[in-house]
Amino acid sequence: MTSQDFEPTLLASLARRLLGSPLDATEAPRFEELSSPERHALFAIGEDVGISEPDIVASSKETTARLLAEIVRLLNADVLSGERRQAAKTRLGNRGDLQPREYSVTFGPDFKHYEAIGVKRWHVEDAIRTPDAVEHLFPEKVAEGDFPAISLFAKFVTPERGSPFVTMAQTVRNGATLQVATAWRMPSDLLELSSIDRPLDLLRRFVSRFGLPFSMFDNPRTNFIYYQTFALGERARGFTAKELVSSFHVDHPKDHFFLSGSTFRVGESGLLEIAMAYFIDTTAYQASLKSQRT
Amino acid sequence: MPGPFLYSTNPFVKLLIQERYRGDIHYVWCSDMCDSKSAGTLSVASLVPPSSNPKSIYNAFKDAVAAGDQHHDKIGAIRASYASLSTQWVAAGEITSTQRDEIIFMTNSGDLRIWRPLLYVIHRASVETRLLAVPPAKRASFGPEYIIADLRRDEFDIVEL
Repeated sequence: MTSQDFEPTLLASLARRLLGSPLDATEAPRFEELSSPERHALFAIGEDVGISEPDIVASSKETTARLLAEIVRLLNADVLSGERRQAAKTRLGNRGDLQPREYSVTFGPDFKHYEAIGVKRWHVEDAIRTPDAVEHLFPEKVAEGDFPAISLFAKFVTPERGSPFVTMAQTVRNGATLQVATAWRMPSDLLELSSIDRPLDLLRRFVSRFGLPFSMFDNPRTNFIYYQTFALGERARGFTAKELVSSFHVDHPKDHFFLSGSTFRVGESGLLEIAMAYFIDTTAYQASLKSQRT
Repeated sequence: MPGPFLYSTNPFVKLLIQERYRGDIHYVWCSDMCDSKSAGTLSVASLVPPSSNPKSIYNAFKDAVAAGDQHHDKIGAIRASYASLSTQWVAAGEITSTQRDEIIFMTNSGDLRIWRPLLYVIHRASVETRLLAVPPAKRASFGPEYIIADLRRDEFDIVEL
């Protein structure tokens, strides 16, 4: 029998026996306190890593550490390679439980509109990789499945020249990939920021400053929708998400451009679930940025 | 006389695992003082050595994360602990094998910031009756140390220094 053949529960029990703190009050036992199957397993593992039986019996700290490392390697081997690893990563990514650096970041073709108003890709990637604040929206809805998994990343930037600002990236998680949906450069003095603990609050403040009023179908005007459902029935049939957004009526000053930050899904029964929707007056936004610089 | 709070340092990944997979119940070692070095020299709290002192543990994790030290012994020990614990939890039917895979993935994350330290500030009055004094033979020194095996999330606050 080789060490790979031992039952995981035996290896786990052995690891627990060899471990002391920090998670357990038990101390590593003396060799003679181990059960017969544990001793047998320890000798086999020792043989694999070149530790002699007398050294195992002597139970020095260094020997114990090497044996423990090998047991952990055996326990984790199936998980840390191949499909199971990737599947775990995808599940964690969908739930927002991956660390920022483990997501891959993609930019859709619409990102060129944000570059045109001065948002730089590397600023967005930096905000995602090393954020000061992250917020995953609608965790319960996302857990139900097939709902836009939106994550907001905010990073405070203090440039050598010019005013400090916050880079805000609004992304949609798809497994271990983050698709950047919108990104804004928010001047901190403009927004009177002292803290960016909750990126959603920051986004709301940004929208209250630069958001345009809009309405959809027969509903009242607003400048921000944060999770709302609309029973569109037959009216939604055959429309793509993009076509539905373009059916929103946005009240914008003449010659002003705007960008949409909308994420939603349309159910088969014609139920439109808007996760988030707003429209930013980019003409006013850019003018404001310009006045900040002068 | 003990103060109103107890202090415990734990890495972020441990908080995450206990929240997600253990019903938000936390197993912690804790001390009377955040930093035993700041205790009066005649106080027993001052006898808690760096290896058990919450502030020293905090700094050790912080330095390991800053240095990108994947092989730091405290990180290695917790990794090993979760490798074995999660296997036992599956065997006991407490988690699924896919949840175990997630725990293993997280504790072996390439992004070391998952190991960034958090200081738990525990409301002593709410846990007093559940404090298990660590036997002197198992402590790193003479200073008092405790274990709380079933700490609830509403019984402590989290501070990042």
